Amino acid sequence: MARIGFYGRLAERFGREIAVDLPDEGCSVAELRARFEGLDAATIRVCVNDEMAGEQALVRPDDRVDFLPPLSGG
Amino acid sequence: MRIDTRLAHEPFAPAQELAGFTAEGAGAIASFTGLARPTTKDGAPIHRLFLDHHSRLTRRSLDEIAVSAERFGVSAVRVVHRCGEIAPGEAIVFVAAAAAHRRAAFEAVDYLMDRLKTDALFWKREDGVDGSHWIEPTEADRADRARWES
Repeated sequence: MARIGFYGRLAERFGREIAVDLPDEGCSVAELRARFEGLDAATIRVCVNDEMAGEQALVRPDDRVDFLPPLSGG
Repeated sequence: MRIDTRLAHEPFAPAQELAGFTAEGAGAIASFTGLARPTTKDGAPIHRLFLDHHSRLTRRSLDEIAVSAERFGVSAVRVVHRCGEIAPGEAIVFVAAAAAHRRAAFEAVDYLMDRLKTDALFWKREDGVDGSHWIEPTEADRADRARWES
């Protein structure tokens, strides 16, 4: 099971962390993103195992993925 | 350059942070404190702010932003950023920079704040009489950030 983390407004919609089943060979970030409604690739960045990842990056079943909405610090 | 960053889960005292910020041989120390405003930009009262964060990546982003102030030739930088629930009037962020001369210290603090607004891993929600609203960077924030890209 891959662990998926959500933050900000996304955490209110999907929960802070959920586990999802992935095929043994994994899937791309884009395929994982498509499982959730409204995760616009133009504004919501992705980290896989704490590193920024592109849409074609591979997500394996034991990975940690974080979806990051636009930031607002300071 | 000496770097000191901290993610504060509880209220902190900006005056204390400044008093504890020393840099041997520096000729200038500049600092900035950001406070939680009591109203939204439309004037509606805010009960509290909530700053969401990532347990590992937020700290890393603070460190990366602080290190990048090296371009100004500063000798020391301190960044303290709150997370969690913040009452109006409480400090959200404190930034200080020490340098040989004032211009570098001023510029480093200005730069650090622009970076923190758009690049630090926080998500800010205003809770007020009109409900709760997540805040996202404005065009002005992005323009402020872009000033430093040349």
